[in-house]
Amino acid sequence: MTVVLPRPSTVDLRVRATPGTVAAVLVLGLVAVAVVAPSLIAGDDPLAADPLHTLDPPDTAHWFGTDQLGRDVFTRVVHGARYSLSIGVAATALSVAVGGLLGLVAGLSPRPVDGLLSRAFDVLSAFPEVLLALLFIALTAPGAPSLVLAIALSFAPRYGRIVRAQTMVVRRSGYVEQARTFGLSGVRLAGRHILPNVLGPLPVLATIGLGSAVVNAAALSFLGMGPQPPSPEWGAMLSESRNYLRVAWWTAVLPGATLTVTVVALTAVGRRLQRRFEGRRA
Amino acid sequence: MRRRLLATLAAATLLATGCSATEGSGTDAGAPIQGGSLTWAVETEPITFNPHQYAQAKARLLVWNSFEALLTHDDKGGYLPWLATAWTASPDGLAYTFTLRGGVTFHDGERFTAAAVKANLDQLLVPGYAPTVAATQLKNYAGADVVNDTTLVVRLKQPDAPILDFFSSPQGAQVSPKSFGSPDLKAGGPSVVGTGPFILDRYTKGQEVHYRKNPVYDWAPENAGHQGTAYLDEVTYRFLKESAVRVGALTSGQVDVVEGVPATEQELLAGDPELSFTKQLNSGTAYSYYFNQTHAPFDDERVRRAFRDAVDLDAVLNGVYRGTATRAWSIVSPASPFYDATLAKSYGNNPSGANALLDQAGWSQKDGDGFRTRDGKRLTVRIVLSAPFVRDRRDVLAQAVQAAVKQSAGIDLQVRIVDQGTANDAIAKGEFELFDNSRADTDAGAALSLILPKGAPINRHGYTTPELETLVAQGAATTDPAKRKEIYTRVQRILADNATLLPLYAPADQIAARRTVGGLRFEPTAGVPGSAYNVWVNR
Amino acid sequence: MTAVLKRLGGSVLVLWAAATAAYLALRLSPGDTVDTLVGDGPDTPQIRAAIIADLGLDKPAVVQYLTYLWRLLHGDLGRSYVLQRPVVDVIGGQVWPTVKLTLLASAFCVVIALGLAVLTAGRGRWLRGFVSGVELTVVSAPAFLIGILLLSLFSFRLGWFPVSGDRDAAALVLPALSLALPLGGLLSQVLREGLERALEEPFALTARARGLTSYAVVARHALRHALLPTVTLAGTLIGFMLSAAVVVERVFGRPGLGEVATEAVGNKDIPVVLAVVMLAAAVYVALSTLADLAYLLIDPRLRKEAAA
Repeated sequence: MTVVLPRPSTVDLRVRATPGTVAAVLVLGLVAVAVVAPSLIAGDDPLAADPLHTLDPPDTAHWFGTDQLGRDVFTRVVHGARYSLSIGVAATALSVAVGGLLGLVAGLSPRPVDGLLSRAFDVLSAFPEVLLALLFIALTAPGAPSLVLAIALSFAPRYGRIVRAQTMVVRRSGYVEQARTFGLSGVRLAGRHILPNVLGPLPVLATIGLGSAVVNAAALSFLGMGPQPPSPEWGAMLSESRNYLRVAWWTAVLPGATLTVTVVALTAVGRRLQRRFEGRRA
Repeated sequence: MRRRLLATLAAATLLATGCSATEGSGTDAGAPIQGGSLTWAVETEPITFNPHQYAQAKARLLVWNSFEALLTHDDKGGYLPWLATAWTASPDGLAYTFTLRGGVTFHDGERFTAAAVKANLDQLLVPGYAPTVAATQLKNYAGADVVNDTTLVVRLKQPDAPILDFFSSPQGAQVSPKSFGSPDLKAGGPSVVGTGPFILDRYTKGQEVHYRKNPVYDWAPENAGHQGTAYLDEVTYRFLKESAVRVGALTSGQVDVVEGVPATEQELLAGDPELSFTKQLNSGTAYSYYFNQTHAPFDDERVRRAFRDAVDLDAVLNGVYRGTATRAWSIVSPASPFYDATLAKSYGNNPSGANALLDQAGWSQKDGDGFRTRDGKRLTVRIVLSAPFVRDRRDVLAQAVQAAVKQSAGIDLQVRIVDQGTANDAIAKGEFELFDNSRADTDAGAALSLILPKGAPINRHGYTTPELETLVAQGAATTDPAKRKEIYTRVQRILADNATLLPLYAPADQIAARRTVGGLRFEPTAGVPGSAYNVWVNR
Repeated sequence: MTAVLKRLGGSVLVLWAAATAAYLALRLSPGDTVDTLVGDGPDTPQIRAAIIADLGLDKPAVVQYLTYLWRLLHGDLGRSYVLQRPVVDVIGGQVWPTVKLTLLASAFCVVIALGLAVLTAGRGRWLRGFVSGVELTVVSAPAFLIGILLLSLFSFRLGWFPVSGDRDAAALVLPALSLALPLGGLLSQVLREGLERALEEPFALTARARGLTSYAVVARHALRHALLPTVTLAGTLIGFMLSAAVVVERVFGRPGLGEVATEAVGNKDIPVVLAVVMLAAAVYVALSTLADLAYLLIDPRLRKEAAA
């Protein structure tokens, strides 16, 4: 779970690439390759089973060992990036788009509309994310599309609130007031002055939020609400391998570590971007 | 004398291979000790505690704690008295007279009488209550007459030897007629009671079920190991679905006994001097995939044969069960006396043959994912596993078969593991090409009459011929073991020729326990773990 | 006082809206409402008739909605048609295990956060960097993964804790820890930022000038200042806790609301899912209202502002 932290008091204005950030960017680069072209890194078929080599420990032939069906865990993890990440990215994009739009509307609208939308955000965020997603899936059906919609639904109020607050700040700031006195119309004002300033922080927030989305997707898959076996989705892999934990730790620990490293990298890069962004504005 | 004769006639058949020897190591529990409590981790949480609704072989070990039947199986395939002390069949086989044990009470204090047995039979026929029992085990039941408190005459529409199997089965267990008014009747629980050595007094969904000793119990069957009350004061069964957790709970001392020990865990337990391990093959039918012949693609025998030949089942079983599974070659379990051993190695592991058959059948193109297609349609077959029935890592086995048929023959097997309702729905709508099943029936013949005749409850494959119907009916009406073996051998060969199913393995049960636990055993004939009646703990 | 009333009123409004949203979700979801409610349970004309009567589906929409609210007010959460029992019976016994778990997790969380923050605030770069890295990792790792690892290490390998279930206090430790580690990591980050800011304030400098050790300054003065902002995080923390509990209960085979909800989703037992979700929302609203009120009481500036 990640939360946008309050701006630190000692803003690092000299944004240098620390070793940590470099490592995080490298990890994300690798993950991106895994999503786009998994076969460059690992084998071709994450489903290829070899009943003669089940639960083999990691070695040079199978870096992450093999699972209960003799499938190469490394290949599955690499191919699984596409499932886990694309669910996370799609859900984040959707929630940023919908939440952001509603937030913008709320921030620009007269009080009754703003009040209504803000209440709606309050109501939605009163439901714990995973439970709201579970309810959504219960009313639809398990699977990747429901998962995307469910996570998007539970994350949208987050972005809605931030964008609304940002819009308010920008709207009340001096230069917008000034522009208004020059007689700019509401729509042009919004398009030319408010929007760029409001949307600026969104990519940064989305990067950090992506980490949460990936974790929630994995959690829901772990509960059996996501892609079904034999899909190499990370959460589903963890759920399947739990039974072999005592005899084959690698089937659970290595996919889990990959998931964690990916989310750490996303969060680290996101925070770095956030600092940089706020530093520039300070 | 008469009753013994009949009992022997009815199913002495199992003599030959009836129960394969139990494998395992011994205990240090010493002589039986009264008192104490025991915690037993089981794989399957029952869908119901009402024995009339019983459907999961894995729940059988719970049934006999609190419920009892009129008869029980001995280890030679015959029957022993239990709640009935004697029984006779009329010469035409149309009436059975049961003499019931006196002085038996249900847990709610009601007396066990002939009227109670009749009330149970009537209840089983209430529409919508137990449709499978009414349609199969009781299909020839015509009525019952209470002669006096301890004498009941059961009338049949036509001779039906397996009716005695019914009176020894969980579905034939005796429930207190007072319980029929319970709002929880179908689900069972503390308000639905029997006459057994333990009283179910607490059930926490998802966690455990707790039994305490029935202090007045004094009517155990003669093969139960001892007489009088149970040794244990209380026994708790915890539902631990995951094998790693179950075995972990045993090795860390939180439970005394576990059932359902998969191969990977057996290796871990083998070296532990504190623990004992036993396993036994179930009787009944083998765990098999049946092909749905009512629509494409398995309406084509070549495709069925291709699927059967595409799997290197020995390798698959070895991978999933690490050499502990017994491969099955026929619908009947290798542990059953009716098993036709000549079918072994008569098919299978022939990918080139499978591919040739599929080419012939028109599935000759391949799509981008490597699956076969015909007229642009992929060769997709679906299997729907019902989660409450998944045991012995059958979900993993399904995935292994899935990978095998994809790799060797380009068949797209889609596996879905769903809740029971969804599974029933898919079955009702015919949205499946394969279905999986094994029956831990004490009499494989009883299982066959559930699976093979037209319209039978588990006939989801849609294959019937007049000859098969006749054979199954003859098998049920015949009491001569040799004759039955002959009939069922014929049945098994017909099914193998038709490629009706892909038999996978003989279901087995395993028990692992602390060595201080004594008296653990498998139920005679069924081969599943027995109740806790004869179990004691030496602490 | 008005501020307090206003906040309470707002909470009631959110609760009402949440209940309405849940109701609309049920009624507007695709398919027939009766079908949805039957779920995977037995489906007979009698049960269908009972559902129609229970919900008043034969009455006008306004009456249905008001009946629903009225029942909700009286703690009637409807009926599980799959389990053939009132929903209150189904979830009643599951509330305490979850409450127990979250309470202990909260306690662990506070200890972890305070410990880490106080030990590392204003400390050397190396230690701080290391701890930040650990914090980032536990914050990012999914709670269920932490649970699996703890289970595997402390239960399977070392045998220190029970493997599963909810039989004694020891069974509570690992699940609570799985919940507390990510939260504690997060909280300690926030706390440390606050502490470091407070240490730069004039009063801290004065205190140090008087010869107090830096730990003493942290403990006696700065902590009070730093704790305040963490109260605003309460809502997020509660939401996270309830979400993560769902998965952690599954990992450790514990009974609880999350496990009930997960199972109900599998059975399509909508009334039960709805009830758990609404209960969680109510708890969330109640606790975050309390936190906000506490904040109002603690911080005099806010009190004045709100009154103005």
